[in-house]
Amino acid sequence: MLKFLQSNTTSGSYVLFFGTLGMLILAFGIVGFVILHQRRVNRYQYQLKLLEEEKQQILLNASIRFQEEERNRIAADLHDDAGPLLATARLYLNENLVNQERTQQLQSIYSAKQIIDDAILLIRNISHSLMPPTLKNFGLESATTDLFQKISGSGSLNASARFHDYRVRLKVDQELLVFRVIQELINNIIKHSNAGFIHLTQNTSDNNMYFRLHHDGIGLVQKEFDSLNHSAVGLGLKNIASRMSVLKGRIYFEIDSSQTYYKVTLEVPKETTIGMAFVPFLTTT
Amino acid sequence: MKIETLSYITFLTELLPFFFFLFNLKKIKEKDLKVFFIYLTLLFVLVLPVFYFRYISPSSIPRLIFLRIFLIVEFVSISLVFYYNINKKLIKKIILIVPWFFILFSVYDYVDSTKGQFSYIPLAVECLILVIYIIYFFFEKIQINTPTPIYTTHIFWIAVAFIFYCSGNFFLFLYSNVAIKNEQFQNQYTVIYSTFTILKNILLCLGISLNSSEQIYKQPIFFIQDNTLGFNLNSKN
Repeated sequence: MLKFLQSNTTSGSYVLFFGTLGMLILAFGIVGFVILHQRRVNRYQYQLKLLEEEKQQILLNASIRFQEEERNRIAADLHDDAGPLLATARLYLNENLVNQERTQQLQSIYSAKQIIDDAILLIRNISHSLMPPTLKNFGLESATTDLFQKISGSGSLNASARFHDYRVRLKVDQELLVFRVIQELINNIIKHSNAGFIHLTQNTSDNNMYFRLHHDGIGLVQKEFDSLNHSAVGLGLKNIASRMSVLKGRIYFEIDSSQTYYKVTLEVPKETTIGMAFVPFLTTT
Repeated sequence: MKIETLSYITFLTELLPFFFFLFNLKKIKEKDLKVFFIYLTLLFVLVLPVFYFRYISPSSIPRLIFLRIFLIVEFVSISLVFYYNINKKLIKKIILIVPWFFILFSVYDYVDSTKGQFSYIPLAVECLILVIYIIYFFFEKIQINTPTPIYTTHIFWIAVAFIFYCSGNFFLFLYSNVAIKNEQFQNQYTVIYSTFTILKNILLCLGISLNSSEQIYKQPIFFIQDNTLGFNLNSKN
């Protein structure tokens, strides 16, 4: 083809030759660019997918480990506390009881009764720690306020909670998850931050509900949370991240501009229950 | 190789995509491919009379009429193929409107041109518009994230076939209008046109024989399900 075109030396032939060549280079360039660009984007997506899978694996492992630790704790509570209590009660109520004097019998029965009462209280406490009855019966607002009152009652920390607009409740499952996240955050604040006060506020927008914790101790900022979340340590934080993933919500760790207190904000998309906040009161009566 | 032989081969390769399509007829489910099949069928139907009036019973007027009809059919069907593969509504509307103007322009050009002479301007216009469609199509493709490589889709090869065909022949068609009477140029024309037409038909065959249709990439859901987490966990650790 080149020979053909070169044989005709008129300027028109050159226009044709270079024009066609230019168009072909353009076509090749476009096709090549599209292929290369797509390959690069796919490679990037693949790496992103791997990272995401790795992150999810860490979260999953954390949640499994957490579950195991929880089982161990409950098993230890039952074995170390409830087991000896019931064994002691059994000692009081042995076969010789019938042969004992009446006053001694009464004394043994009274002691056994007290031990059984302690065992009941212990089991109730374990059960309450698994599922707070206030949350189940009265909702997140009551459960959180109750929790904060208990913390404040201990005298070591000033804790308060205020719900500004919680007329429409979240779904029960969501409430439980939010409550667990708040519990975990408070737990961390008490354990690590050396804070003097914790204050929780709740607010709502059209699509989301916001829970914000303020405290004046040593806290985390988002960068630290993210790095801990991707590392092998920080089981509690991973649990928070898992729960926020289930909630399809977001969590922000910030420090106030005055650098005096830290803020943790939970953003939870609203999936409200059909009933209002008063429904549990109606169902329990 | 004689120029005439090259011409014959070019005519024969025009029929190849149609047969490839027939062999893969069962795979065709997408609308754009159905339109493309209609285009290939019409191409098959129109190439035969063109061949007849050129080589068996040479007669320029009916041959040129068939060529003009073929040109309109080609433009309309290829436009429709890209109409189904472009997402932006405004561009889709434009793609639907442009063929009407092209038909009007072709009719005007036919009425305006000397009888028995083929005007290459509509061909050049067709090439230019198709190149624009294809560039836009690729522009959209690089914006959409797809898991399957673009070169495993039939539409990619159809687009590549036409971008090479149109860009390779664009200057040729433009220049033909003034120089087609020159015998040397006619030879050059045959060589260039045949090369790009054969290339186009080979690429079309390749595209048709591909089976993979594009799937929109969906980000897999990695969230841990509620039951995996277990709601009975106490978060005190």
